[in-house]
Amino acid sequence: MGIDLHIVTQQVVGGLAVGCVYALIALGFTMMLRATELVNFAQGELVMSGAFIGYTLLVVTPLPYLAVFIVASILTGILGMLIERVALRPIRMRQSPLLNLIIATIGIGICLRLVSQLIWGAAPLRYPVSVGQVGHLVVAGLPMSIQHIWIIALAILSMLGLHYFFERTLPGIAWRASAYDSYTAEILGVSFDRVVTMTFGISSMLAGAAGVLIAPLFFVAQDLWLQGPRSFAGAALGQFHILGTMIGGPILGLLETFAAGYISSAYKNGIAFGVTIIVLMLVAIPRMPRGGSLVFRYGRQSIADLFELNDKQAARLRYAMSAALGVLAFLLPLLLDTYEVYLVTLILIYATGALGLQLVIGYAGAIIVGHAAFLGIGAYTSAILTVYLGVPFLPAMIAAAIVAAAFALLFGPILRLPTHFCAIATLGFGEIMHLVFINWKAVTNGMSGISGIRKPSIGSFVFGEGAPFYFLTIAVLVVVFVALQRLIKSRYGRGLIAARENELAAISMGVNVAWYRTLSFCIAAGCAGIAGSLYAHFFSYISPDSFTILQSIAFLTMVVIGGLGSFAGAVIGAFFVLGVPEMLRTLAEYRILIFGLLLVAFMMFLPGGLADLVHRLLSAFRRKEGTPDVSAASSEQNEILAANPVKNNVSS
Amino acid sequence: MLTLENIWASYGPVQVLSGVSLEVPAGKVITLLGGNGSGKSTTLKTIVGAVKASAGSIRFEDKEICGMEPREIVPMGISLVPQGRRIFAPLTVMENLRLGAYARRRQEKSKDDFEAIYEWFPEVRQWLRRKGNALSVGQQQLVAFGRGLISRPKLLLLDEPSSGLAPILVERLGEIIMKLKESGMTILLVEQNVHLALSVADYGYILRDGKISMAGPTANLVGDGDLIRHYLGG
Amino acid sequence: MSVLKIDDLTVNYGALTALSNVSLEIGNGEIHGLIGPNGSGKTTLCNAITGFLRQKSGEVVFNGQKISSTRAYNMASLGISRTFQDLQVFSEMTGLENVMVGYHGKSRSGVIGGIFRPPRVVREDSEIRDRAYEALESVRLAHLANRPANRMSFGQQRMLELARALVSDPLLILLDEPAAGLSPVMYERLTEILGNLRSHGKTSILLIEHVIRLVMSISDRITVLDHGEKIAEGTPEVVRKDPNVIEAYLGKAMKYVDA
Repeated sequence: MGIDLHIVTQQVVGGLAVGCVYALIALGFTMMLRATELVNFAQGELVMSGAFIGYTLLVVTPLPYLAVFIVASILTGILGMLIERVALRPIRMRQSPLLNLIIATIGIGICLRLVSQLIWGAAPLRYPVSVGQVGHLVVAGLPMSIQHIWIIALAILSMLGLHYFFERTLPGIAWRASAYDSYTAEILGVSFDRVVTMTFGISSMLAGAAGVLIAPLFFVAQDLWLQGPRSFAGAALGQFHILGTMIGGPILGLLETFAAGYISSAYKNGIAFGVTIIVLMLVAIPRMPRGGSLVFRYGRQSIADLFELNDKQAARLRYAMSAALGVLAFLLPLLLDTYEVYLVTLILIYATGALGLQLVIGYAGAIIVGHAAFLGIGAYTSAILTVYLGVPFLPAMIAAAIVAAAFALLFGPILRLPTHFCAIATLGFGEIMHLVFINWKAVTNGMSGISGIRKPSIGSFVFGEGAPFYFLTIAVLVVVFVALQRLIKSRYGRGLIAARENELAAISMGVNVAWYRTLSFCIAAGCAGIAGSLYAHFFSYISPDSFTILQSIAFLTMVVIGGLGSFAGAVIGAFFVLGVPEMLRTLAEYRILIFGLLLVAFMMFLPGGLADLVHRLLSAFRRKEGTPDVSAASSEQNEILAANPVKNNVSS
Repeated sequence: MLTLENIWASYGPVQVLSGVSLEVPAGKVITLLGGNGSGKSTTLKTIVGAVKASAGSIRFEDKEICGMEPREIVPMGISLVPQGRRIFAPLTVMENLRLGAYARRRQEKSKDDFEAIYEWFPEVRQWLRRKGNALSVGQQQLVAFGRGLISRPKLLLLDEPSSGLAPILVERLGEIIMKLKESGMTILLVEQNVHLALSVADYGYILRDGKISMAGPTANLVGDGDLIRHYLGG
Repeated sequence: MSVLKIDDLTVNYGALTALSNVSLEIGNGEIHGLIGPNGSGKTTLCNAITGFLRQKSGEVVFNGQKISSTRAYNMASLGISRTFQDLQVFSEMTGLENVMVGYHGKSRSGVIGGIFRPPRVVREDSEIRDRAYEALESVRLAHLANRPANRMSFGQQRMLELARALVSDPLLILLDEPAAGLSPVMYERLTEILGNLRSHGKTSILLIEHVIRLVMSISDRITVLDHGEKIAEGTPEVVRKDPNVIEAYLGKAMKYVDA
């Protein structure tokens, strides 16, 4: 079997070109992690921004490609610094946990994507390729694309520049010093805040440079953002060292090219994520468990505490509220029109999945960005079982939960990773599952999806469209809600919350933290599986496009906006996230932009979410009534000092 | 040169300094002694602004510096050599030294500054290209001093320079401090090694539970049996 | 019989030796003091006993059982509990919940039980609640049972940690600087609680302290560490006069000053 050297050469050069771009993007991740322990989820959107800025410069100004490359990089760098100063610094200054910062960067990414869509439109744009970039160069009889060589040369030049900056210039040396030991750097006069801003500036510059380089290979469109999370594998391969990343990027590029060329091109886009997950799980060396609080919460008291009710009164209040909600839920189909019932049913299905996610994020303190994958697993399981195998609805739904939970168990070690790694790994998991839905045609029927899923039935009763399905959904939601609520009040729940509050102490008290977190992940996946089953039977049709990163982010938004650490909040969040855009239907286009803005705004101004807002309003109401605030009621007030020793989560 | 008046500071709920007052006159070596956790290091961190005092006043050359950031305070001529030396391990000795002058940014004179350091510690010149993590503890000590001195500070703060040092190195340390003193440097020395501190300092303060519990010329402190009781109880 | 026996324990951090060949024995019901200057390896020893650090060589035997490779989360069920140098409470949980978690290692129920609440689980839960309440009473925090830990004072949080460590009736409790930063009132309360424990004689204590007067006054025996090595051991009287100890604390030659 002969190997065509011409093709191999082109593949190698092409792989290296893409890989060098990956390296630039990944260097941004590595720098950020080194200096601040943060994973900037907007890095991919900055790549996209750089590409768009470069496009405009090329089209509007007479600047040559090289000048555009430099100007676009600088502009993107400035954009990055602005993002840090305007949105992230206020969150950081409040000693918010890493989780809040990560969520904020996800929100910022969404905003950038949508803003670019408003400016440049959603249609892919072709990069105007300047002269001298087309054609091939023949070296030793082997043809190489000039465009690829340009990319490689410019990327290597950028990396050399970065290397010079770190090795020779005083700010570069100061940056390395601060990344190693920010306290000592600080007492020598190297301000940590400035280092953070500088880090954002440089990593965004690198992203911008990468955008201008990679755009000519593809069309310029919003989906360029995925290059960000994908490039993260380069940083992981390089063990999050600067030099390692410079090598890790090209290796990733070659890996992708050859795997696509010789194994299967269908999963090409998943390779990087697979690499990330595998490397992270291998490298995440057992570390000393952290003391202190992972997730700062917001001192939210229960309503019963707020109004100083005794147990009996609290129970009565709970019954009264449940009864009122129950009556409302019962009457709802009579009060709403068909479309509204349809919409509420859909919201309740999502809320069921969001409840599970709340357990992992709000109570276990981990962060899952690929939750929609479990929705999909549940949906496909249920659809396949009922359509192809004739299994009745109820067993199929239970099977959906179990299969989804089994997947979570398989990927359980992800939950042992530090927060930011967990986020990127689960994002990768979501992307890989999406590819599986598309490509495992024998089972999922590929892009055509599975249709003809019957409405659920128990015995001879069929839950048809409208009210019957609505009641089925709400029954499932209530069961899930009550089960989770009971769970969190149990010994397991206490252990889980304790682990979130203080891993070190929890382990010492006998909590098997790693296993508890994995379990919470499985339970969350199970909830999503149930929701997925309902989803499949609700629409009668499923396809891979229903289970993408967008749905995952919608889930995340529900949980965060609803309020971390509140199951009721997750339900409220689902209504808010899916319901509010419906009310503003004229703004449908901007629906996702609104998600992004909301994520950032909530992290900046109301990190406790809607549940916290309700609580604040209630306590304001309580104060107005003239009774003393509970928090000031105690005689020990003088003794009460600030909360925990607050550590700057961002400093290394 | 430096005056602390009634300084209070805390880490979260833990009150560390409860009204510390002390004075460092120009050209003198002042020592601050006390057991573990008595607040000695925190006092130094508060002076350079790395820890924010909740109340009180710090005046350096008649300027109020309490509440300022390290990057504003350091260029005024205060230099802190941190506990455990904290050399940047992945950086070369040269880079470590350059960072000593970071806040001042008077690049044009930096050559002279380096020469001055070589005069103090001739050995350092041979290690310039070595990484921090390739240095022995004794070598780190010299580099840490070099990094602290290269900005030509008016006031040098030393945070337990003897911690983790073998006895022979403690002796060398004593010599360095004496030499610095002879050159006219003003030093505030925080130490656990009482003997070392008392043998080089002019005046001593003893810190206990975040308050100054004893003070006096070192000659008086040496004979005081209370000192032992301070450390070992009884 | 001894509850804890450490033989020739060596622990490394990378190339750094944090503890070298430390041996130590704690008898039943004994209060054993552990002192030493900053960085002498006290907390490292504590972490090695509780399974957070793996030793390079040597052996740790607890209650007749080798625990050198036991996982940290299993220590509680064996009967070892601890408090921390820098306050590690569950800040958003109430006082009662904090202490209930302290009983985790001694209780069983899991996810299924938590959801379905069979009588066994309900019983266990109310037992945990009762015990936690008692433990809170023993440190006089019962009135704060429903208050989140982060709205307690520093001293109260220290007491809370103590209650959390005591609720499971451990055979051995490691107290890492329990007196640091305590007000005189809370300090009194602490010595009283330690005194009670000693008189019951069921629980042995390894007491790491900077507040030397507490260690000296309450310990049966004291071990002194310096630079990761044991430099002295004995009763408080013996240790206090040991020239090695004086040197470790005050620096060489101080002994002449004393004379």
